[in-house]
Order: sequence, then structure tokens, then C-alpha cells
Amino acid sequence: MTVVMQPTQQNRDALGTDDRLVRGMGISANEILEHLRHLTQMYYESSEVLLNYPPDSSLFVNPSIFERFVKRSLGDTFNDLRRLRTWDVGWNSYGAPKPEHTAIEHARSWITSLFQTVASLGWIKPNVTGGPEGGVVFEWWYGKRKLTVYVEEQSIEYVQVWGTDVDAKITDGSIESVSDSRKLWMWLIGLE
Amino acid sequence: MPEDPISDDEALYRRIPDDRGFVKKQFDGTFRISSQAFYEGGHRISVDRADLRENNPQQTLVSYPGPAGVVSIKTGDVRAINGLVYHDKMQGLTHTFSVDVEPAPIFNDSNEPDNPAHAEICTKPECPKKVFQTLIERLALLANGKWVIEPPSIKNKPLI
Repeated sequence: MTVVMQPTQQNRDALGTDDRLVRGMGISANEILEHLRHLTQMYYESSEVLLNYPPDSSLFVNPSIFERFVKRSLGDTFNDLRRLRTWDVGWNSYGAPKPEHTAIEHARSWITSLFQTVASLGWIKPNVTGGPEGGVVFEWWYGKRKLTVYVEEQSIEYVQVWGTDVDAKITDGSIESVSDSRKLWMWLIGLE
Repeated sequence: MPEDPISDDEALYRRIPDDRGFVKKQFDGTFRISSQAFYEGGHRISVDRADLRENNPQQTLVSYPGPAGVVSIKTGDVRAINGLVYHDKMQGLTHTFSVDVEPAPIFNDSNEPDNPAHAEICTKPECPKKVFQTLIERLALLANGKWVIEPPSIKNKPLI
């Protein structure tokens, strides 16, 4: 099932300037807010949920605000990337090499750039796992479509799966630019 | 030609680790398998022949430590995978690959426990990386929902 979420105004504020909301609140209000936050987090952790962020240009003009926005929105993904550093040779139990530090850094840089480029269209938290040759793999499912992105130290490649049937159309290619990333994202969320 | 050929109706078990991002919960409560659950560096994908595991997927599960589940797919469905094509732009040629499952029993290997049920999914001829990436996407599509042992993340999922 495909769901497009439009956060409430409160959620929008929480995404950008969460600490201001908490200031001045009593303990019980904090507890309620924390409970709501927990429920929201559980919901957002499932994939296929497209989070629409406001196209607020101030986020992208002010580096410090944008940095906070990115950290908050990509926090789980950054944690997943950090977790890859702890995986050793054979982490998949089928002899895969250890994820390489340089590939993980490249992946972090690319996913940040992707988020910056497409956040206003809506964001889906990626699945993160190790790649076959020491790289990083991001995966998104949305509706019937699936996008897999392989990030290695020197290259980024993608595979598009156009349906859920085993005979579904599958296409692939390389990501060379921000424009390529944006086109793929628009394809994933059905805007192309 | 390998001995003891595998018939199309034989079931194949594949162990899917549960703590490596290979099982992803979807919004509707279902779970999808990552294509990376099938990636192997040599482009030959290890499976167990169910018949030779006494049709007991637990035997496939316990061969390695760590939380995991087991999916079961039919040999015939694997061999029926098509659409594996590579366009060689340099030579202007198009290569097509078929999929097979071959017996590959393991005995006296210093890194692996003995496993007479071991078999491998492979392409004919051997394929380049791009084609293998397509193959594992198709295998993930084929394996979705075909758990014979659910991994802990599914078994222990909250009711709400």
C-alpha cells in the first residue's frame, strides 16, 4: 500500500526547530510529546512512507539550520552507515568483504546530497546494507517500484525494478550527477 | 555435466540473515527481502537442496550462527528467470544469459562444514556484474513471502 504523508504544522515545526516546542512545557506535556514522538518514529521507520517536507528555502540558505535538519531527518540512516563499520569479513555469512571506510564516507556524502536535492519532493528512509565489493547499498521500495543504489569508493550505480512480479522490467545505469539522482527519485515516487 | 542433476520440482533453501538489512518491513506490515540477501562475490549463489536436508529447513538455518530465516524457492522457477541481457556497447553485441542450479556438495573444505545438499544458482555463461545485479533482484522478487522459517524480526513483530 502506498501512502503519502502530509505532516501537520506541528510536525513540520518539530522537524526543523524541535527544541523550541519543548521549552516551557511541564513534565506531563513532555511525556505526551515523547509518546507521540515514539509512535511517529515507529510509523516512519517502516518503508514506503513518503514524507513531504515544506519547500522552505531558508533551510537551504542557512547552513546551520540545514545541518540540523539533515541530522534529524537522516539520523537513522547515518546510524545505519556507522553500523556498517563494525561489520567484518563474511558479515553476510556468504564471504562478503568488510565494508570499506571510503565507500561508507562516499555513501554518506551522496545520501546527504540526495536528501538536499529531493527533500521538498518527499523523503523515504532507505534500507541500508553492505555491498558485494566492500561498498554500501541503499534500497527504497515505493508502491510497486524499487530502487537499488550501489555506492563504491569511485562509482555509484543503480538498478530500477518497475514492478513486483519476477518478470518485472529492470533497468540499470550509473549516477554521474545530482540531476541523475533527482531523475531517479522522481521515477521512484511516480513523478516521471 | 554434474552428477545427480537437480529436477525442476526440487525445492531450494536459502538462509537469509536477519541482522544485516536483508529483511525490510513495509508500511502495510509485510516484509520484503533485499536483493543483497542473494549477492555472492563469485556470482554463484549458495542454496541447499531441500530433499537432501530431509525437507527440514532447520538444518539450513543452524549451519551458521546469528539470527536468520530460511526461504524456499522452486528450482524450476529459478531456471525460468529470463530477461538477463548484457549490451556490450564496445562490440555492439547483445549477450543473453540463462539461469541454472547445479549440485555443489561440500566435503572436506577447511572453511565450510560438510554439506552434501549444497547447490549453486549460476548463469550460463558466467555473467558480468550488471547482469548479476538483475538476477538477484529477480531472486528477491521470487523469494518474497516464501519463508519456511521466519526470521525473528517477522516472528516477533508487534501486533499493532
